[in-house]
Amino acid sequence: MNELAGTKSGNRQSDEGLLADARVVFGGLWLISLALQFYAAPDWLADTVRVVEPPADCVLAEGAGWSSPLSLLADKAFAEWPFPVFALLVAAFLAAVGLRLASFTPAWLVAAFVTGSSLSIEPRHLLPAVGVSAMAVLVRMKLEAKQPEVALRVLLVVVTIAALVTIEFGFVVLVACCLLPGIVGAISDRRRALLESGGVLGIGLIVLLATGSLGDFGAALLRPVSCLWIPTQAVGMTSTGFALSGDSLTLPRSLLAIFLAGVWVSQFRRDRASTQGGNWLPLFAASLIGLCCGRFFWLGACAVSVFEQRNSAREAPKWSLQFLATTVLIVVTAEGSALLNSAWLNAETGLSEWDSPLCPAASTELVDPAAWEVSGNVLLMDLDQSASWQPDKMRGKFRLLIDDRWDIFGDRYLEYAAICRDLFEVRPQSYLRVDGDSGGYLTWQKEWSPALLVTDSRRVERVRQLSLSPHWTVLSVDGERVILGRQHDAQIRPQRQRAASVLLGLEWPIRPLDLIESVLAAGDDEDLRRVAGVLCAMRLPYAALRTLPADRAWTTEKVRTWCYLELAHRTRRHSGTVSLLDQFRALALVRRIHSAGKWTPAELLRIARSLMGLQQFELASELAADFESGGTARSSASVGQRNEARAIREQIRQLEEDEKAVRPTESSGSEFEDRIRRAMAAGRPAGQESLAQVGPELSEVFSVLNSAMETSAAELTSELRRVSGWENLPTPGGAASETPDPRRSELFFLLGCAALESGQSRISSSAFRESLRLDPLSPFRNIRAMHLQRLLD
Amino acid sequence: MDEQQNEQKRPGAVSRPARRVLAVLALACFCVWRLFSQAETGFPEQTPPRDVVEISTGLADESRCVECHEQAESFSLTGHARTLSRVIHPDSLAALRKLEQTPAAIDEGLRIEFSSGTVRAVDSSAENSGSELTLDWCFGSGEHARTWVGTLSDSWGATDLVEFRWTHYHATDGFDMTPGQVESPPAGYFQRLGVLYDAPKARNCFACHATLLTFSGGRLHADSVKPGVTCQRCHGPRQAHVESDGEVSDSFWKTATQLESVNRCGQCHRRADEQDPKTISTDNLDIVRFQPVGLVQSACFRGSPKMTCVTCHDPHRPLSAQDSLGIHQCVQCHDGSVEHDSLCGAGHREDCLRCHMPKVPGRRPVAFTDHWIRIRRPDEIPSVERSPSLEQAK
Repeated sequence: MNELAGTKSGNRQSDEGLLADARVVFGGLWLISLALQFYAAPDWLADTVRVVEPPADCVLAEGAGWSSPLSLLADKAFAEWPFPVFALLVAAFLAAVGLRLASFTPAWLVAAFVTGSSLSIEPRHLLPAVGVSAMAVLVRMKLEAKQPEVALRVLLVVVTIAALVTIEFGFVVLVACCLLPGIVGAISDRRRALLESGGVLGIGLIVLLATGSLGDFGAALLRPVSCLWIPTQAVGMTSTGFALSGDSLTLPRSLLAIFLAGVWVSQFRRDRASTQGGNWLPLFAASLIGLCCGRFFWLGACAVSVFEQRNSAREAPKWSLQFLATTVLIVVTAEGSALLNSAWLNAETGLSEWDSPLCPAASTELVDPAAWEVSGNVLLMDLDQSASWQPDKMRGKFRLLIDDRWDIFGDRYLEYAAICRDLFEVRPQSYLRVDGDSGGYLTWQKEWSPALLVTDSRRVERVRQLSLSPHWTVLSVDGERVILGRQHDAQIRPQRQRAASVLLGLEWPIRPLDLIESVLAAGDDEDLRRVAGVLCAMRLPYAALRTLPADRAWTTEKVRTWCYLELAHRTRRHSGTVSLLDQFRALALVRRIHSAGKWTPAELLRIARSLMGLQQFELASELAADFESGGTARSSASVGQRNEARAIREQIRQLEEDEKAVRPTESSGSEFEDRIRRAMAAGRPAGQESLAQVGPELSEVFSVLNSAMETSAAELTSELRRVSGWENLPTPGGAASETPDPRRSELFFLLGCAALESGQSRISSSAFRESLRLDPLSPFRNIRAMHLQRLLD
Repeated sequence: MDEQQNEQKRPGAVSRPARRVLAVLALACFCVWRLFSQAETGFPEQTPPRDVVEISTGLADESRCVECHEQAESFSLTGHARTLSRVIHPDSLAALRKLEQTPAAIDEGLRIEFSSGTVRAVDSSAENSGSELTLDWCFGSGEHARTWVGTLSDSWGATDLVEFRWTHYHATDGFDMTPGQVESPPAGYFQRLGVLYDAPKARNCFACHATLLTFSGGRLHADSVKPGVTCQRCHGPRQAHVESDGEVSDSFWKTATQLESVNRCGQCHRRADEQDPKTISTDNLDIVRFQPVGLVQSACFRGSPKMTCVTCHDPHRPLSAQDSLGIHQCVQCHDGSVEHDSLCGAGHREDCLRCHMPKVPGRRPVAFTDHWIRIRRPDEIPSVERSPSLEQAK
């Protein structure tokens, strides 16, 4: 008796110990998850997140599409939660799942799951995730308590609730299907017969689904699998693409992938060791759904975690310190590698770059089109932006023509992609497509009359092409998106004028800018880089240079290179000759970034193409050859890109064979000056030997230009003023020089350009006028006249 | 033990190791498949269908068309087939050399430099000295006119185009200003050499004058251009047709409705639904350039169940070899047998086109047949002879 009492007392003490351990582990997991979420969301205090999907409300859906009853009932206040509340709940949820895993899974796997989940959770997936977890845990509890009928009821209740609260209920149904065999196996023979007839009903349901008889509800039910046949890249839904490919393999996803792999291995071992057999079906189904659709990756990992089974009934999670150490190790390794990379780059090249792999690029400041006097239909050219478009906020003014509900639009997405392609390739008129239909967006545009086009700010090539459209004009730019309006739409006129005033005012600053926030917005340096990239793509290189953050990160330097290239091309296009200032800086920067191996394959090709236009065949050929010879980075290049690189080299070879095809460079009359000019045009500094031979005045000018890479535009302006003898700004004007002085005219032209870049418009216009006075027929006359016209406007 | 017995009881059951291997294999296969499906090399269904002129796959060798289709024998002589050529094509060079005999161009300081494989237009005028343009392509067959263009690469490698300021007109066998260009061009590097068009416009120009093009990032790959509007430009890629000895065939031209048929031509000659409705009026003579726009307004087109462009024109034969100026097309319907298709009210029995489809002179020495077939008052009928540019040329 005493022995029994002693055992009971011992059990109680053991239970209390386990409980205390569990509390510690739960608390630790909760805190870590919370900290990671706040870390990844810089504006966590002000942010709100939407946990309930908005109802289907697209113009082209024409009333079709299943919306969960909760989304129809929930008002904005209920559907959108403050981020801290959301983070607290998510942390509690992940801590609970982690705690359960902790008793039978290695610490590093739990660390990978909690860290990866905290950083990649999709707010709208919280409800289905909770549903899946609750269902799996409750069903298992009831099965352990030998109550399969209750488990079945739990399953049905959770599925029903899921259908009422989320459009991702299909995922919950899938998990329920995985649980069903266990329940059926535990149920008595009489009931099993009943269930088997239910199975017949289920097959009937599948037939109904397959024939589309269940309509929108059925389509929504199939969402977890129908994403398989969506042309994700073509329709701008990269988040729906294969989770482990390309750019989508971020650190959080990598951690979840490690977790998945770990679960597969442990499942494999358990299957071999135990007599119970593995839980392969749910593991396979959840992994498959997670892998085939990046958007379900976290949800899949979450489902996998709840299917993990313990071996023994009760094991204590005694390794909270081990877990903590693993998590800290992940964070420190991830951030440390970025810091080390940054330090190495600094040592190697003097440039800095630190992109935190944990912290996703947060763009919080967006231009708000709801504040404009515009309303109408909106076409998102990247459907991944559907969530950030904030349909609730825009409701009443704007309606999306199409969104990312692939269960509604699945078979229409290719047509949508074709229209988007025609729009950004500026193909309004019809053309014959290989499928026999007509392309061209004009007819479609007439029918649906979109008021705004929205495209991703990172897709600069698309923005560049769109900026040439006779039908669309840029209305705003921020780090997330570029918004364009119909060119001849009367209602956008005020915003169009504001945009023109701001954008041209940034390019040729003649007066202070106002209302800039209604046209341009940027939250952080990454945003600034993206905005600058867009401005450069729109052929506003000075505006882009003014927008760039004042750092020397590689990403900044790349945008700067494109700005200089744009300026070099602009000068060449208007003068037929080389701008020593811009072309030298552009090519020198191209070389610097190339030697650091920082150009991506696609960028290398684009640079090579650009250099062809500047007739810098040597460097273009070098870049194309490097692209072709390949390294690990080049392995991602497509066949088309490799063919193009070959074509570029072949074209250069042919051009070099026929030297007359190359526009001859005018000789300055001095061999050494020609040598310096050729070197600078190729992005190489002038040699000391040549500098010594061209006379002190010219030598000083070339020396200043040689140092342009290391000096700011303002410093360069000041230096050029010094060497031109213009330290005190003279009164412009006076009679034209009797004898043209081309060299000094060019010097003043370059001074005007440097001053324009540094925003000193008065000095710039004076310098251009002096250049005009010294040589009215200078090769730079046309571009000089263009700048003067803008500056004196 | 029970578990083992259960497994033994099920005769078709898959063993546990096999299940494990199957699960891992299935997932691995899926991952490999998806990774490859993401590559640009495969899965064409992932991208929307492209312009037929930009697809090189499925194209047949057009020299084989003549084996079965007699139309192909004379097709190379048509204007369509010759509507684009390299600048160094002998016909192009021969025409371009006549520019030296054009006083207006010489007075402007224009000079053409011919060197091996290269033709360069140079502006040697005092105020714009040094500007030059390398001419790359010659647009037009010469049946009506020829216009040269130079291609340029912008800072991102996209192909822009400069349309040369001077065009060779067949009617005068001489040069005049290119249609659409102004006498006094705005200042700029190309000022007197031509007009600069951006990449999308350049693409449009080539798309209507070639059968195959390749663009990437807005850049035209010159080597990929198959010049001229040839068989597969209108009939689509025909490799399958050739390989199946004609069993696979394009039914479009047999089954197309009237409007579909006209719109196929209208892709280059302008579709009526892509013309600003405000500009479609009998007063606007500028739209005579866009034949399908006028045609679909015509009572003949609207009242006929089958009239299309090919009712009168045989695109497989050169214009000179077909009687598109005669009356036999008109009398196919207007033979007096049906009241609705009456004979000419003015009592004429020949030269229907003179009144109902007259040639409308343009501002340059070129005239366009007005395809808006209608009954006109005598004062509405323009006279080509009254065209100042053609008059001057004479």
